[in-house]
Amino acid sequence: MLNTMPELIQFTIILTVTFAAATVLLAYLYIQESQKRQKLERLSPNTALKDAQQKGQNLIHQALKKAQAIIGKAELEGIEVVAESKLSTKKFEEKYGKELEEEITKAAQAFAKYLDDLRTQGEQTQLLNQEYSKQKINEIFEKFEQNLADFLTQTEQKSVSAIDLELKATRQLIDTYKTQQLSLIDENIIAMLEKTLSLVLVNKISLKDEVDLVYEALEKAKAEKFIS
Amino acid sequence: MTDKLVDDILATTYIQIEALSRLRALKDLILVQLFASSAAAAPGVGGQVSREKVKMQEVVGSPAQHTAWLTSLGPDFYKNFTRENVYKIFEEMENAIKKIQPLVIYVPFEIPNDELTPVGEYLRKNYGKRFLIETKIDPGIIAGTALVWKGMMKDYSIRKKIADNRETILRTLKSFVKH
Repeated sequence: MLNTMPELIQFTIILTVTFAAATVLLAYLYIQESQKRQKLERLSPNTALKDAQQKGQNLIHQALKKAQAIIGKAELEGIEVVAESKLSTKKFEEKYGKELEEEITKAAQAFAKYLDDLRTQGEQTQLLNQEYSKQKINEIFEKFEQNLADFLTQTEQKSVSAIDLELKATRQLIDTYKTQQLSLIDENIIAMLEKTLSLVLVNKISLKDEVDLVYEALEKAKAEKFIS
Repeated sequence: MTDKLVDDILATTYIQIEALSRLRALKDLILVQLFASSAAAAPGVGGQVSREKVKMQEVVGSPAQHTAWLTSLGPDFYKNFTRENVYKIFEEMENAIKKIQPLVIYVPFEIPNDELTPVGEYLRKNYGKRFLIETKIDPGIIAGTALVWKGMMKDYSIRKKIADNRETILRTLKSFVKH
Protein backbone atom coordinates (compact mmCIF):
# COMPACT_ATOMS: atom_id res chain seq x y z
CA MET A 1 0.00 0.00 0.00
CA LEU A 2 2.70 2.35 0.94
CA ASN A 3 4.56 1.48 -2.34
CA THR A 4 1.52 2.32 -4.61
CA MET A 5 1.42 5.89 -3.39
CA PRO A 6 4.33 7.08 -5.55
CA GLU A 7 2.80 5.26 -8.60
CA LEU A 8 -0.47 7.05 -8.09
CA ILE A 9 1.25 10.31 -7.81
CA GLN A 10 3.26 9.50 -10.89
CA PHE A 11 0.07 8.60 -12.80
CA THR A 12 -1.62 11.78 -11.70
CA ILE A 13 1.34 13.83 -12.81
CA ILE A 14 1.41 12.10 -16.22
CA LEU A 15 -2.31 12.66 -16.67
CA THR A 16 -2.05 16.26 -15.71
CA VAL A 17 0.88 16.85 -18.01
CA THR A 18 -1.00 15.16 -20.85
CA PHE A 19 -4.11 17.32 -20.31
CA ALA A 20 -1.95 20.38 -20.11
CA ALA A 21 -0.14 19.51 -23.31
CA ALA A 22 -3.39 18.89 -25.11
CA THR A 23 -4.82 22.10 -23.87
CA VAL A 24 -1.76 24.04 -24.92
CA LEU A 25 -1.85 22.43 -28.35
CA LEU A 26 -5.51 23.27 -28.83
CA ALA A 27 -4.95 26.77 -27.70
CA TYR A 28 -2.02 27.18 -30.01
CA LEU A 29 -3.99 25.88 -32.93
CA TYR A 30 -6.93 28.11 -32.14
CA ILE A 31 -4.73 31.13 -31.93
CA GLN A 32 -3.03 30.27 -35.17
CA GLU A 33 -6.38 29.78 -36.81
CA SER A 34 -7.80 33.00 -35.57
CA GLN A 35 -4.75 34.88 -36.72
CA LYS A 36 -5.05 33.34 -40.12
CA ARG A 37 -8.69 34.18 -40.25
CA GLN A 38 -8.02 37.70 -39.38
CA LYS A 39 -5.34 37.84 -42.00
CA LEU A 40 -7.62 36.36 -44.54
CA GLU A 41 -10.43 38.67 -43.65
CA ARG A 42 -8.11 41.58 -44.08
CA LEU A 43 -6.59 40.36 -47.37
CA SER A 44 -9.61 38.79 -49.28
CA PRO A 45 -12.92 39.23 -47.87
CA ASN A 46 -15.08 36.69 -49.86
CA THR A 47 -14.08 33.21 -51.24
CA ALA A 48 -10.56 33.11 -49.98
CA LEU A 49 -11.93 33.88 -46.64
CA LYS A 50 -14.44 31.18 -46.82
CA ASP A 51 -11.86 28.68 -47.98
CA ALA A 52 -9.58 29.68 -45.24
CA GLN A 53 -12.35 29.44 -42.82
CA GLN A 54 -13.21 26.09 -44.06
CA LYS A 55 -9.62 24.97 -43.86
CA GLY A 56 -9.32 26.35 -40.50
CA GLN A 57 -12.36 24.65 -39.24
CA ASN A 58 -11.11 21.41 -40.74
CA LEU A 59 -7.82 21.90 -38.98
CA ILE A 60 -9.56 22.64 -35.75
CA HIS A 61 -11.73 19.60 -36.17
CA GLN A 62 -8.70 17.45 -36.80
CA ALA A 63 -6.88 18.95 -33.91
CA LEU A 64 -9.83 18.32 -31.70
CA LYS A 65 -10.00 14.75 -32.84
CA LYS A 66 -6.34 14.26 -32.23
CA ALA A 67 -6.57 15.91 -28.89
CA GLN A 68 -9.51 13.72 -27.94
CA ALA A 69 -7.60 10.68 -29.13
CA ILE A 70 -4.58 11.74 -27.01
CA ILE A 71 -6.81 12.36 -24.05
CA GLY A 72 -8.52 8.99 -24.49
CA LYS A 73 -5.17 7.29 -24.79
CA ALA A 74 -3.90 9.09 -21.74
CA GLU A 75 -7.00 8.09 -19.82
CA LEU A 76 -6.61 4.50 -20.83
CA GLU A 77 -2.94 4.52 -19.90
CA GLY A 78 -3.80 6.12 -16.64
CA ILE A 79 -6.45 3.56 -15.89
CA GLU A 80 -3.99 0.83 -16.78
CA VAL A 81 -1.39 2.27 -14.44
CA VAL A 82 -3.90 2.55 -11.63
CA ALA A 83 -5.09 -1.01 -12.19
CA GLU A 84 -1.53 -2.24 -12.30
CA SER A 85 -0.65 -0.41 -9.14
CA LYS A 86 -3.74 -1.69 -7.35
CA LEU A 87 -2.88 -5.18 -8.44
CA SER A 88 0.72 -4.92 -7.33
CA THR A 89 -0.37 -3.45 -4.04
CA LYS A 90 -2.78 -6.25 -3.49
CA LYS A 91 -0.10 -8.83 -4.31
CA PHE A 92 2.34 -7.13 -2.01
CA GLU A 93 -0.21 -7.05 0.77
CA GLU A 94 -1.02 -10.67 0.25
CA LYS A 95 2.64 -11.63 0.12
CA TYR A 96 3.98 -9.66 3.09
CA GLY A 97 0.87 -9.15 5.19
CA LYS A 98 1.07 -12.47 6.97
CA GLU A 99 4.80 -12.27 7.48
CA LEU A 100 4.37 -8.77 8.87
CA GLU A 101 1.67 -9.90 11.25
CA GLU A 102 3.78 -12.84 12.38
CA GLU A 103 6.75 -10.60 12.88
CA ILE A 104 4.61 -8.08 14.74
CA THR A 105 3.22 -10.87 16.95
CA LYS A 106 6.73 -12.19 17.59
CA ALA A 107 7.97 -8.73 18.41
CA ALA A 108 5.03 -8.10 20.71
CA GLN A 109 5.64 -11.40 22.50
CA ALA A 110 9.37 -10.67 22.84
CA PHE A 111 8.60 -7.20 24.11
CA ALA A 112 6.09 -8.57 26.60
CA LYS A 113 8.63 -11.13 27.75
CA TYR A 114 11.22 -8.40 28.04
CA LEU A 115 8.83 -6.30 30.06
CA ASP A 116 8.08 -9.26 32.35
CA ASP A 117 11.79 -9.92 32.81
CA LEU A 118 12.32 -6.25 33.47
CA ARG A 119 9.48 -6.17 35.97
CA THR A 120 10.84 -9.27 37.75
CA GLN A 121 14.32 -7.82 37.80
CA GLY A 122 12.94 -4.54 39.04
CA GLU A 123 11.01 -6.25 41.84
CA GLN A 124 14.10 -8.22 42.85
CA THR A 125 16.22 -5.09 42.83
CA GLN A 126 13.58 -3.25 44.81
CA LEU A 127 13.54 -6.05 47.40
CA LEU A 128 17.33 -6.03 47.60
CA ASN A 129 17.36 -2.24 47.95
CA GLN A 130 14.72 -2.41 50.67
CA GLU A 131 16.73 -5.01 52.55
CA TYR A 132 19.90 -2.96 52.18
CA SER A 133 18.15 0.25 53.25
CA LYS A 134 16.68 -1.50 56.28
CA GLN A 135 20.09 -2.84 57.20
CA LYS A 136 21.71 0.57 56.78
CA ILE A 137 18.99 2.32 58.73
CA ASN A 138 19.32 -0.21 61.52
CA GLU A 139 23.07 0.31 61.59
CA ILE A 140 22.63 4.08 61.66
CA PHE A 141 20.13 3.85 64.48
CA GLU A 142 22.37 1.57 66.47
CA LYS A 143 25.30 3.91 65.98
CA PHE A 144 23.16 6.88 66.91
CA GLU A 145 21.95 5.16 70.07
CA GLN A 146 25.52 4.27 71.01
CA ASN A 147 26.75 7.81 70.40
CA LEU A 148 23.83 9.28 72.27
CA ALA A 149 24.43 6.95 75.22
CA ASP A 150 28.14 7.88 75.24
CA PHE A 151 27.33 11.55 75.00
CA LEU A 152 24.80 11.38 77.80
CA THR A 153 27.24 9.47 79.98
CA GLN A 154 29.99 12.01 79.34
CA THR A 155 27.64 14.90 79.93
CA GLU A 156 26.44 13.35 83.15
CA GLN A 157 30.01 12.81 84.34
CA LYS A 158 31.03 16.36 83.42
CA SER A 159 27.95 17.80 85.11
CA VAL A 160 28.54 15.76 88.24
CA SER A 161 32.20 16.75 88.41
CA ALA A 162 31.34 20.41 87.76
CA ILE A 163 28.70 20.32 90.49
CA ASP A 164 31.17 18.63 92.83
CA LEU A 165 33.73 21.34 92.14
CA GLU A 166 31.14 24.04 92.75
CA LEU A 167 30.05 22.39 95.97
CA LYS A 168 33.64 22.07 97.06
CA ALA A 169 34.35 25.72 96.29
CA THR A 170 31.16 26.80 98.04
CA ARG A 171 31.98 24.72 101.11
CA GLN A 172 35.44 26.19 101.13
CA LEU A 173 34.00 29.69 100.89
CA ILE A 174 31.62 28.93 103.72
CA ASP A 175 34.43 27.52 105.83
CA THR A 176 36.63 30.53 105.10
CA TYR A 177 33.79 32.90 105.94
CA LYS A 178 33.03 30.97 109.11
CA THR A 179 36.69 31.06 110.13
CA GLN A 180 36.90 34.77 109.39
CA GLN A 181 33.74 35.54 111.33
CA LEU A 182 34.86 33.41 114.28
CA SER A 183 38.25 35.11 114.35
CA LEU A 184 36.47 38.47 114.18
CA ILE A 185 34.32 37.42 117.10
CA ASP A 186 37.44 36.34 119.01
CA GLU A 187 39.06 39.69 118.27
CA ASN A 188 35.98 41.47 119.50
CA ILE A 189 35.93 39.37 122.66
CA ILE A 190 39.56 40.24 123.39
CA ALA A 191 38.96 43.91 122.59
CA MET A 192 35.96 43.96 124.91
CA LEU A 193 37.99 42.27 127.61
CA GLU A 194 40.83 44.80 127.23
CA LYS A 195 38.36 47.67 127.26
CA THR A 196 36.63 46.30 130.35
CA LEU A 197 39.93 45.80 132.13
CA SER A 198 41.16 49.25 131.18
CA LEU A 199 37.96 50.80 132.55
CA VAL A 200 37.99 48.75 135.73
CA LEU A 201 41.71 48.74 136.55
CA VAL A 202 42.04 52.50 136.12
CA ASN A 203 39.88 52.87 139.23
CA LYS A 204 41.11 49.80 141.05
CA ILE A 205 44.86 49.77 140.59
CA SER A 206 46.79 52.12 142.91
CA LEU A 207 50.00 54.03 142.28
CA LYS A 208 51.89 51.71 144.60
CA ASP A 209 50.59 48.66 142.72
CA GLU A 210 51.67 50.14 139.46
CA VAL A 211 55.14 50.94 140.74
CA ASP A 212 55.32 47.39 142.07
CA LEU A 213 54.44 46.16 138.61
CA VAL A 214 57.23 48.34 137.20
CA TYR A 215 59.68 46.76 139.66
CA GLU A 216 58.46 43.35 138.69
CA ALA A 217 59.03 44.16 135.01
CA LEU A 218 62.52 45.49 135.74
CA GLU A 219 63.35 42.31 137.65
CA LYS A 220 62.22 40.22 134.72
CA ALA A 221 64.20 42.39 132.31
CA LYS A 222 67.28 41.92 134.49
CA ALA A 223 66.78 38.19 134.61
CA GLU A 224 66.40 38.11 130.83
CA LYS A 225 69.42 40.42 130.47
CA PHE A 226 67.32 42.75 128.40
CA ILE A 227 69.05 45.86 129.77
CA SER A 228 72.78 45.95 129.51
CA MET B 1 85.79 68.43 135.00
CA THR B 2 82.62 68.31 132.95
CA ASP B 3 82.14 64.64 133.76
CA LYS B 4 82.27 65.36 137.46
CA LEU B 5 79.81 68.20 137.05
CA VAL B 6 77.50 65.89 135.08
CA ASP B 7 77.82 63.24 137.78
CA ASP B 8 76.94 65.83 140.39
CA ILE B 9 73.93 66.94 138.40
CA LEU B 10 72.76 63.39 137.78
CA ALA B 11 73.38 62.25 141.39
CA THR B 12 69.76 62.95 142.35
CA THR B 13 68.24 63.18 138.88
CA TYR B 14 66.97 59.96 137.29
CA ILE B 15 64.77 61.21 134.49
CA GLN B 16 66.43 62.59 131.39
CA ILE B 17 63.87 65.31 130.72
CA GLU B 18 64.15 66.44 134.28
CA ALA B 19 67.93 66.41 134.03
CA LEU B 20 67.83 68.69 131.02
CA SER B 21 65.30 70.93 132.71
CA ARG B 22 67.48 71.20 135.80
CA LEU B 23 70.45 71.91 133.62
CA ARG B 24 68.63 74.79 131.98
CA ALA B 25 67.62 76.21 135.35
CA LEU B 26 71.21 75.88 136.55
CA LYS B 27 72.46 77.63 133.45
CA ASP B 28 70.02 80.49 133.86
CA LEU B 29 71.04 80.90 137.47
CA ILE B 30 74.75 80.83 136.78
CA LEU B 31 74.45 83.25 133.90
CA VAL B 32 72.60 85.64 136.10
CA GLN B 33 75.20 85.23 138.77
CA LEU B 34 78.07 85.72 136.41
CA PHE B 35 76.79 88.47 134.17
CA ALA B 36 73.90 90.19 135.85
CA SER B 37 75.37 90.77 139.31
CA SER B 38 78.76 92.52 139.95
CA ALA B 39 79.16 90.96 143.44
CA ALA B 40 78.80 87.25 142.35
CA ALA B 41 78.41 85.14 145.43
CA ALA B 42 77.66 81.44 145.56
CA PRO B 43 74.33 80.59 147.04
CA GLY B 44 74.30 79.47 150.56
CA VAL B 45 77.21 81.76 151.66
CA GLY B 46 76.59 83.94 154.66
CA GLY B 47 73.83 86.43 154.71
CA GLN B 48 73.46 86.48 150.99
CA VAL B 49 71.71 83.11 150.97
CA SER B 50 68.23 84.45 151.24
CA ARG B 51 68.96 87.16 148.67
CA GLU B 52 70.44 84.58 146.31
CA LYS B 53 67.54 82.29 147.03
CA VAL B 54 65.16 85.00 146.00
CA LYS B 55 67.22 85.50 142.83
CA MET B 56 67.08 81.83 142.18
CA GLN B 57 63.36 81.82 142.51
CA GLU B 58 63.13 84.69 140.09
CA VAL B 59 65.27 82.86 137.61
CA VAL B 60 63.86 79.38 137.84
CA GLY B 61 60.25 80.35 138.26
CA SER B 62 58.47 77.95 140.57
CA PRO B 63 59.83 78.31 144.08
CA ALA B 64 60.10 74.61 144.92
CA GLN B 65 60.67 72.96 141.55
CA HIS B 66 64.43 73.26 141.22
CA THR B 67 65.31 75.50 144.13
CA ALA B 68 65.92 72.67 146.53
CA TRP B 69 68.02 70.88 143.96
CA LEU B 70 70.05 73.93 143.06
CA THR B 71 70.68 74.54 146.72
CA SER B 72 71.65 70.93 147.27
CA LEU B 73 74.48 71.25 144.79
CA GLY B 74 76.57 73.16 147.28
CA PRO B 75 78.78 76.25 146.93
CA ASP B 76 81.75 74.29 145.63
CA PHE B 77 79.76 73.31 142.61
CA TYR B 78 79.23 76.88 141.48
CA LYS B 79 82.94 77.72 141.80
CA ASN B 80 83.62 75.73 138.68
CA PHE B 81 81.96 78.28 136.45
CA THR B 82 83.54 81.44 135.13
CA ARG B 83 82.51 83.85 132.49
CA GLU B 84 85.00 82.31 130.13
CA ASN B 85 84.03 78.67 130.46
CA VAL B 86 80.36 78.77 131.40
CA TYR B 87 78.94 78.34 127.91
CA LYS B 88 81.41 75.68 126.96
CA ILE B 89 80.80 73.71 130.10
CA PHE B 90 77.04 73.84 129.75
CA GLU B 91 77.23 72.81 126.13
CA GLU B 92 79.37 69.84 127.04
CA MET B 93 77.11 68.91 129.89
CA GLU B 94 74.02 69.15 127.77
CA ASN B 95 75.60 66.96 125.06
CA ALA B 96 76.72 64.46 127.67
CA ILE B 97 73.24 64.21 129.11
CA LYS B 98 71.59 63.97 125.70
CA LYS B 99 74.05 61.29 124.69
CA ILE B 100 72.85 59.05 127.47
CA GLN B 101 70.29 56.58 126.10
CA PRO B 102 67.48 56.37 128.61
CA LEU B 103 65.34 53.36 129.41
CA VAL B 104 61.84 54.21 128.22
CA ILE B 105 59.18 53.01 130.61
CA TYR B 106 55.59 52.90 129.35
CA VAL B 107 53.02 53.26 132.08
CA PRO B 108 49.21 53.39 131.88
CA PHE B 109 48.93 56.66 133.82
CA GLU B 110 51.29 59.39 134.97
CA ILE B 111 53.54 58.51 137.90
CA PRO B 112 54.99 61.41 139.88
CA ASN B 113 58.75 61.82 139.69
CA ASP B 114 59.02 61.24 143.45
CA GLU B 115 57.59 57.78 143.01
CA LEU B 116 60.07 57.11 140.25
CA THR B 117 63.09 58.04 142.38
CA PRO B 118 63.36 54.59 144.02
CA VAL B 119 63.10 53.07 140.55
CA GLY B 120 65.93 55.30 139.35
CA GLU B 121 68.04 54.36 142.35
CA TYR B 122 67.42 50.71 141.72
CA LEU B 123 68.49 51.04 138.11
CA ARG B 124 71.58 53.09 139.00
CA LYS B 125 72.56 50.40 141.48
CA ASN B 126 72.29 47.73 138.80
CA TYR B 127 73.40 49.49 135.64
CA GLY B 128 75.60 52.49 136.49
CA LYS B 129 75.53 55.96 138.01
CA ARG B 130 74.56 57.71 134.83
CA PHE B 131 71.54 55.51 134.05
CA LEU B 132 68.54 57.58 133.11
CA ILE B 133 64.89 56.72 132.45
CA GLU B 134 62.07 58.26 130.48
CA THR B 135 58.41 57.67 131.14
CA LYS B 136 55.65 57.64 128.56
CA ILE B 137 51.92 57.26 129.04
CA ASP B 138 50.13 54.49 127.15
CA PRO B 139 46.65 53.71 128.50
CA GLY B 140 46.47 50.75 126.13
CA ILE B 141 48.78 48.64 128.28
CA ILE B 142 46.00 48.66 130.93
CA ALA B 143 48.37 47.87 133.79
CA GLY B 144 51.99 46.91 134.26
CA THR B 145 54.71 48.33 132.05
CA ALA B 146 56.53 48.02 128.77
CA LEU B 147 60.25 48.75 128.47
CA VAL B 148 62.13 50.07 125.47
CA TRP B 149 65.91 49.80 125.52
CA LYS B 150 68.12 50.67 122.57
CA GLY B 151 65.24 50.37 120.14
CA MET B 152 64.09 46.98 121.46
CA MET B 153 60.78 46.62 123.26
CA LYS B 154 59.79 44.22 125.99
CA ASP B 155 56.17 44.23 127.00
CA TYR B 156 55.38 43.16 130.55
CA SER B 157 51.94 44.72 130.59
CA ILE B 158 48.52 43.15 131.10
CA ARG B 159 47.83 43.74 127.43
CA LYS B 160 50.71 41.46 126.49
CA LYS B 161 49.60 38.85 128.98
CA ILE B 162 46.13 38.90 127.45
CA ALA B 163 47.58 38.58 123.95
CA ASP B 164 49.83 35.69 125.00
CA ASN B 165 46.99 33.84 126.70
CA ARG B 166 44.40 34.73 124.13
CA GLU B 167 43.47 31.16 123.21
CA THR B 168 43.19 30.11 126.86
CA ILE B 169 41.05 33.14 127.67
CA LEU B 170 38.78 32.51 124.67
CA ARG B 171 38.46 28.84 125.51
CA THR B 172 37.58 29.66 129.10
CA LEU B 173 35.04 32.29 128.11
CA LYS B 174 33.47 29.99 125.48
CA SER B 175 33.22 27.18 128.02
CA PHE B 176 31.23 29.54 130.23
CA VAL B 177 28.98 30.39 127.31
CA LYS B 178 28.34 26.69 126.52
CA HIS B 179 27.42 26.00 130.13
